[in-house]
Amino acid sequence: MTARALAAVIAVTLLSAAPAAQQPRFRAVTAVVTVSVSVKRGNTAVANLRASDFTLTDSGVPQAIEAVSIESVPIDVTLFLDTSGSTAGKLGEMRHDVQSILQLLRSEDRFRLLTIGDTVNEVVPWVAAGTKVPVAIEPVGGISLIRDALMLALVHRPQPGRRHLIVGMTDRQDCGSVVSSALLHEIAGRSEAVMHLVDYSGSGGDPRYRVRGCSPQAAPGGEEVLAGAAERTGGELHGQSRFFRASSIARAFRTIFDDFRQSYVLRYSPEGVTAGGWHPIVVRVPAAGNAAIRARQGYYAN
Amino acid sequence: MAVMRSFSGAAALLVALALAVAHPAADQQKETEIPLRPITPLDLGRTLDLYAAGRFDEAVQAVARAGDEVGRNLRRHWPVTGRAWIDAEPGSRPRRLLAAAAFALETEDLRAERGDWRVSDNPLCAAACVLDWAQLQLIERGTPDRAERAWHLAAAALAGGVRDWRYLQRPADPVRAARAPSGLIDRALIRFPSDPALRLEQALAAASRFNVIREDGAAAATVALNSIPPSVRERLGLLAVRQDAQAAADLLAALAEDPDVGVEARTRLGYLYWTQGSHEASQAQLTAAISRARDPESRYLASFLLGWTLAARGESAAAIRHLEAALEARPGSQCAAVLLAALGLQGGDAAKADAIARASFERKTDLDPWRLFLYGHHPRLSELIAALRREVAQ
Repeated sequence: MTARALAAVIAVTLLSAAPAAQQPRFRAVTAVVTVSVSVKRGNTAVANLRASDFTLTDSGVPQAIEAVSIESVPIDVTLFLDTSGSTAGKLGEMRHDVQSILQLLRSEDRFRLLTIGDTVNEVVPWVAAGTKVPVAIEPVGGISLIRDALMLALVHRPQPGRRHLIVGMTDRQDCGSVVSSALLHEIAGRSEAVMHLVDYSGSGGDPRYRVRGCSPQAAPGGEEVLAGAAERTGGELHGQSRFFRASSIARAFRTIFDDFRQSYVLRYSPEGVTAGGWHPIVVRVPAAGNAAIRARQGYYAN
Repeated sequence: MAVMRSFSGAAALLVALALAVAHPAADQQKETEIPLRPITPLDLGRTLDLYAAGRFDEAVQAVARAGDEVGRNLRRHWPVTGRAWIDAEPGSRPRRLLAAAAFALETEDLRAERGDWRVSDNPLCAAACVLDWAQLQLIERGTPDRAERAWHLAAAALAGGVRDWRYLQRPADPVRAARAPSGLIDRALIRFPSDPALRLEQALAAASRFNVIREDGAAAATVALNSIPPSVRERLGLLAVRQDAQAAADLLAALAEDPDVGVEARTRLGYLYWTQGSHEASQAQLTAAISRARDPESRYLASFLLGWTLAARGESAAAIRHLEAALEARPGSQCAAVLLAALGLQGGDAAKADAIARASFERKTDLDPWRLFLYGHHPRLSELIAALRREVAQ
């Protein structure tokens, strides 16, 4: 096996191939896997955890966590707004919220904005935090290319030492994407990003604006597909709940962003696991009792 | 339809035209029982004067400014106020018939953009009623000509934008055909029987009934059969779908060798076969379309579709080849790029996937030809309206 990027994860150099008859295995230190872990009790992040507070298994094999960091890692933020027909009535508010979001980021963070209509648009390409940007969001009666947009977001490869957070506001009803649900699910497992989606349905669409007929038609269960993809990355699909109010994009973003910034970044070099295929990851924090733990569900090693 | 086939060509034309005239005329007779709603401040006669004088945008903007309610009310004014304007100058009648038909079409484009294609305060007169009326005015001009053809191509593109295929083409299935009026393009083909572009519009409408597919490419085409008892619906439905699909395939295949529309006919035939689960037939048509394509857009579409269908079947290596070929024809185009990036990441090449995705964003404001492929020739509507305006201006 040649040195290849370890899917979805970081600085990666896979070892040369083991003898063909044997399952190739990682040797320590040759590959580093990074996992963002959110530990929350109710709506509050559990602070001051150390490496020794975490247990992590890779493909069922316990791993030694080499480092834990928090806060200090600069973040690439992709904000995805579904600006197609059903949310077309909220465009003014969306423009204002984007400016507010830019002010939330730290100076070392970066930001970009994707929207959808009849195509996926990079309305704001990568810019440094704090930059004043003109946000030209136009109403479109387009098809709703949610999976294509998320796919284009997920393939972004941040520079080493940075993390990638995707926050998507969508009504969940995909229409017209060329990326299938199964492909999105797999790509979510290969991406380095953590993806959070916010249910933004029924939020002021202009019912008189033309929405194009839908084809290709999403397979049933669009909500489950998006929720599954988000969870695979360590994020989630947020509905309205006691802990989450998506009354505005800026407010929803702030909740997710604060949570992400307070999440822990674990690093380990896989030991005693096969080199190829899907590697399920399970993270536990015995010291945190019944706290909710959210982390990517695994990664692909090619 | 069966009756019509037994007539000679000339007799068939007369019968079909009579039927075409009779259908909307009957509706219009019923409409006279309903009082016209006001369209103030819009003055249709004056606005038609503007349009006929070549001040097209001013005329269209006047209707747009008048608002949605006036726009909907306007529909029933065409046979009354519109007709009075035509008849006011008998010496200019052919030109006025064309101008009124063209302007009526443009006002329905406005309505379609506001989601009003089928929305009306009067169920007897939505968009189809206006276009039927306009078509009658064109027929009244006499011998079919280039202007009438331009109007029909624009009308087909307009209806394609709202995917009203039933309005354009009568289904092949005899159960529904017996109850359906002939389609707008069916009637146009009586006037222009061998015109490849109009034949393609008919074939496209027929094939587009099967455009509703699932994301994995599985056929989910259904035909509305609500009036048929459930006990026989399934059997008849399957039969109807097969008949309609075969009829659509026949119409497209008949155009496959045409030098002007053959490549598009093959591309759409390839897609139709895919929706019907005929993968080998689909690949054969798409491959032929690629080899015959003379412009980048056509080559891109056929290559992308072939790549997509192969990817959906798990044939990643072949899919990547065709998607790369698609991007050679149209660099950065989004549909091929997004799939190629996904397949790249799937294959472990994250850097390549990232680069492809970034390149696709550099093609700002570009509309990938696939995105509106399923809306007929609606992406060309403004170009077709411009051609129609040139005819009016002459």
